[in-house]
Formats: sequence, C-alpha cells, structure tokens
Amino acid sequence: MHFEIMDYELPTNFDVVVVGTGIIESIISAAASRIGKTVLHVDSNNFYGGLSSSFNLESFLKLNIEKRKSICMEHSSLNDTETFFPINNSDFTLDEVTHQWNITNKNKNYSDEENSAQEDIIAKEICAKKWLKDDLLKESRKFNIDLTPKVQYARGDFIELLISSNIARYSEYRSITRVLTWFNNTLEVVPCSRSDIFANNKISIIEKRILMKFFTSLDDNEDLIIKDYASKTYKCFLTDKKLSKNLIHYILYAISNSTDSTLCLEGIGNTKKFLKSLGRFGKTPFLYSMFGSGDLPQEFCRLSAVFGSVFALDQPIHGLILEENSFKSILIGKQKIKAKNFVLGLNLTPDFFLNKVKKKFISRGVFITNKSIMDSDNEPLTLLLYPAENDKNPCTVLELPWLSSCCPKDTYLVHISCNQINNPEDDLKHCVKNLFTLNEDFKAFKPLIFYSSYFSIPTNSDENVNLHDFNNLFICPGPDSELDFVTAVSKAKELFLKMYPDDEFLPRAPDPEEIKWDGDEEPSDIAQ
Amino acid sequence: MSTRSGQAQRPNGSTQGKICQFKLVLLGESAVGKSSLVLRFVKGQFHEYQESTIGAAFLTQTICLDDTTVKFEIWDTAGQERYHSLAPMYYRGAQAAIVVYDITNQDTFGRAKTWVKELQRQASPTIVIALAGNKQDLANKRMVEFEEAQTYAEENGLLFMETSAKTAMNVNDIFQAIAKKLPKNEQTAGQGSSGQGRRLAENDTGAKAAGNCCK
Repeated sequence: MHFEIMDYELPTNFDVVVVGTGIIESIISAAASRIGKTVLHVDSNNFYGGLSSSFNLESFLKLNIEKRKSICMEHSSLNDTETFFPINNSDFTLDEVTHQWNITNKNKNYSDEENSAQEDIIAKEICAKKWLKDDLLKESRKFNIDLTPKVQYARGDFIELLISSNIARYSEYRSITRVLTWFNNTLEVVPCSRSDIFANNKISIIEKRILMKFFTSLDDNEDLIIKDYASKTYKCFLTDKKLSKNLIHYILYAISNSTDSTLCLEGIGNTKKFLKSLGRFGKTPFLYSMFGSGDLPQEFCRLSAVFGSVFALDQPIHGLILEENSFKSILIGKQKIKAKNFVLGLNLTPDFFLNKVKKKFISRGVFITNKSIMDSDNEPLTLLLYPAENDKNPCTVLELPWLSSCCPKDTYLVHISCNQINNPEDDLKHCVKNLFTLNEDFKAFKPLIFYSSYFSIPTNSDENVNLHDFNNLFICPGPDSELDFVTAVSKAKELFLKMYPDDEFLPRAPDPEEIKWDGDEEPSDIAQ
Repeated sequence: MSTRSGQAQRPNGSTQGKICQFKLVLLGESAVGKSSLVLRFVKGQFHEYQESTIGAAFLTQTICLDDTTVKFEIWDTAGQERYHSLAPMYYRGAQAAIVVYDITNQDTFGRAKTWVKELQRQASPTIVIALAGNKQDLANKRMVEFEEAQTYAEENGLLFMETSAKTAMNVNDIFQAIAKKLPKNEQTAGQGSSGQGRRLAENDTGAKAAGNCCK
C-alpha cells in the first residue's frame, strides 16, 4: 500500500538498526528485540523479505522493472570527523527475469468442427479446467510465488527454533506429501518411512532388508567410518556396503540430497537428518509454510515488533556514517539515526566491504501447470530431487498444489532451482523437457505449462565480505542453495552472539495467558 | 487458518455445544484506540495512557452464542502500521477484522477506508469486517458524522458501531455482532483460506492440527 506522504519521523536513537528484511536480518532483529534491545528495522523495498520474498502473479510479472532507486547524498550534513559509506550496491539484486505465456487470452478457434468436438472430450478428461491468460491474472492474488523456495526438515534447526522460540504459532505449515527422484528416465517415489520401504514394489524383499539394516547401522560404527572414510565419498561408502544400484540411487541422490562427490561424513549426516525428521509431522521429513516461503522472515519480524521494534519499509536509505573507527549513525531520508550496532543485508552493504570474488547464482525456473508431474489420488505437495546429469547440476523441484495457498485451484505452481552453470533456461532445460510439455498433446500425459519464468538469484556467503575490523557492523549473507534455512539460522545465531555474547538467543516467548497485566489480580470473566 | 470447531465432551458424555475458534485482526491508524478496545474486551480494563502492548502475540477471549462458544484469537498490529509496514502475514487466514478510526479525527476515517480496501484486496474473500468509530465518549469533539460512516459501512457490507473503550460502550456488542455473522460450520468457514494447515508444536506427532484446542 502506498501513501503519498511520510507523516511520521523515525525515532533517532537505537541499540540496533537492522537494514534489510531477509531471513537472517529478521532472525537477528527478533533476537535483539526479544532481550529488550531497542531495534529499528528498515528496508528500502516496500515489501518484506528481499530476495526471500514471495509475490502474487501481478507483482511477480512486474519484478523486472523494479530497480533500486538511485541515491543522492547531501554531504553538507556531515561533520569533518565523519566518513560516509553510501549504500548503493547493486551486485546482489535480482537478475534479468524472463516471462513466457503458453496460453492466450482467447479460446482456440477450431476450424475443423468434427475434430474440435472430439478434442474437447479428451481435453475434459485430462484437465478439468481450461485456463486462459486472463483467468490466471484474475486469480493473481491467490498466487504466492517464492523467489527462493525453501522446505524445512521437521527436526531441522529452523523448525526447532520456531518451536523453542514460540514463533511457530504465527503460521501454518503443510507436510510435503512425497519425495520423488528421477531414475532410469522416469519418476520414482523415494521410500521414506519403514512402511514406505515395505510397500515399495520397485525394490525386492532382500533389498528392503538390506536397506533397513543399513539405516539402523548408521549410528553403530561411527569411529570406524570416520577413520576409514574421512577423505572418501559417500558413494564409495554405499558401494562398499554392497547396496544395489537402486538403493544407492535412493540414498545418495534423494535421501541424503548428495552428489557423486559428496564426502562420506557429510552424506551420513544428511541421511541421519532425513531419518530423524521422519514421522514428526508427516510421512516425509519435510514441511512447507503455507502462503509461501516469503512469510518466514515476516514471522520473525512480527515477533520483533511484538517486543517493541520499530518497522519502516520503503525507506530512502542513503548510507552509514563512520566516526573514529566505528559506525555511529545511518542516514535515512534527511534523518541521521544513531545506533550502537548495525546489521546489514549483503545486498545493501557498501561496496567497500565486498571482496571481488566470483559471483555465484542460483538458476531459477517458475512454472504454472495444469496437473501434477505424477498422478495421485489426492492433491500432493511434491519434492523432486533430480540428480545431476552429464554436464548439469542436480535440480530441486518443488511442486505446490492449491492447498499450499500458493496458487488457485486446478493449477500447480512448480519451482525448480539449481546452482548456476550457464544461465537459468539452459541449466534447467533437460529437467523441464522431461517433466512438462508445451503442447496440448493428449497422448503425452505430462503436465502442460501455462506460464514459465526464468531468473537468477545471487547467492553469497562470508567469502564476499571483508569487515576491515569495524566491530559494530554485522553483515548477513543472502539466499543460499540449501533446501532449508539451516545455514541461515546458524549465521543469525553467530552474529547475534557476537553482538550480545552474554544473552540468550531467542528464548521462548510467553503465550498470551502467561502475560501479566496491571491490575490482573482477578481472573477476567467471559464476556457476554 | 479456517475455523476449528468441535464438540466438547462433558465427563458424563453429554455435549455442551460447538466451539469455534476464529482469528480476528485489528487495523487502523496509530492512536485510534485499537489496543484499548482489545484490552477492554479481554480484560475489562481501560488505561488513559495505554502503552503499546509488549510481548503479546495475540489475546484470546470467548463469547457464548446460543449453543455455540466462539473463541476469538485477537491480533494487534504491534505498531507495524505506524510507518505503513504491516506484514501481509498478519492478515493470513483471518476470518474477521475490526477496522478502527477515531471519531474526533477525519484523517483516521480516511485511513480506515484504505484499510478496508486493503483487506478486500489481500484478505480472504469471506472475511467479516466491522468498522468501529472509537472514542465515542468524546462525541462533543466529533469530526466524523455517524451517518457518514454508517452509509459507507452499508455500501461496503461492513458491520458498524461507534464504540468507546473508555466507557465500554458497544465494545462487547461489536465482538458479539461479529461472532453472530461468522459462519459456524466447517463447510462454509473453510472457503476463505484455501485449506487448513498445521500449527507446529512440541510433541505434536499426530495427524490432528495443533491449533485444534477445544477447551
């Protein structure tokens, strides 16, 4: 919502100013506010989440033209002892977004009436609803399209943090219904639970026994494994365990989300993480937040606000002011705002603090389709871990049904991501070709693509940052290519504890019933 | 979140009627008395210089309607509206909203209309919206006419009352009116949000939704 006038000035003195509303910045904001620090949390965008945000279809289609406002600075407002670091870094913004519609605004005009009648009957069988471009645009607000989709392990650090901090009550989740892999040119369901393994008709009884034995043995010989396989790959370990080709595929590429070069200990760690998360909330280890991954930073911002932080989006953030080797204030509009600590998202960090390392990207594809990649009785929420192929990186495919509140009924929203090699379209084309069709070809039972979009998300990590010993500036890396937010949580915790080493990181927030009010001696009556 | 309703069982096995839980969000400019309205409704209290509520994610209050118990989960803005930075997550799954303005301040009525539009654009299409002209105890300084607000409310299908958190006038009534208008069964209530997810909690391993607490 846009208002023409800024009718309130911001307060000008804080313990912490947080710039950017990505996930790490938002977690730190909540943690600082939670222990009673005064926090100002600002963003130059008029939406929450930065590169972790989600958009409805209309806003998503306009993303390409949204560029960072150019920044002008009134140097007259600086003293002689102050040095100004402008925030004008454009290295870490969204790269060129392409949009392509595969449906038109008008119904196809069939010249051959006989054929048309026949086609209509078949079409009805395949797809209950015929969509036109305008129909999808009319349903724009039912879409929540993630820039950086994330699933969470049910017992991963992120979900544990949500629960232990009591932030989990702000939102709702759905379990991923099934995990798939691509094997021998076809989609296969990955057996997750014990009952899945026994119900699976693609693996023999002997393989089932071997697999169960393998899972239970992972905890046993840890010392031996560390000694013998420290520098060997997980694949080598699995092969030595005399597992069949089938089983190695399931464990390596799906269950442990690994590649041929993943080291043994990492692979074992991933496998354990997967197994540990089974059965907590659903049949697979994964959860997805309703209304998209973009709501996750907002949950932490809400907690931060509930404990008193001041939030202001759409701010003209000019830069940081350094005085005597530490940062003293930040210039927002015409206001100079003082703080003891500054937390910045990497995409808003002054160039001065960035190393010239090779930039890395995630190749992203977004697709709206008419049906699931693999038929199912109910409307599944599917995670497909598509293994590396020839010169292509492994791809993560997340297919969301309308029940996820990310797309309208009778459509599916599909996210594909991989670490970038060339460009998004080229990096993902093998996967897209195998899963979908662009033609209403009734013989191929693949989902039909209505709309597709490709873009690149810049990823970045600590190697990009050089803080030059300024001890009150904390820089948060942007999106990463992990499935979940495990790295984000550990980074947020690390930065918070650097800032406040003696404080607790996000202790449990009280439930409404536990809050003491003035004059609260008498229990309140039920209102009639 | 859609309605979580269920039958409460008494020890002797007889049923006590339905219990429905709804998420209700408050909207409106700073200082129109949003938190005061909630505090009056939930705690029966009023403080002239109400500090913003620290640490409360939401408050709950229960209303009895015939054979149905309606439990409101009432969400306050936590000040995020002040610089127009309310997170969309705030209205997710809300089945009811009270848009508050101050009858002594014309601007806040204008902003209330903007909030109604925002809800109509962003929130569930079946959301029940009530408009509250607060600070009715200051009617001698009135800048927004009752009829003007009432006409606007009628045109937009909103419930409307003038309220006073200070004197408690119409405070319970407006919540009561909302409770009456809300659909009380699963079929009609679920339409707004497209489906019910799961609230995560410790020790929750079963298939039931964690928020399904029918006490």
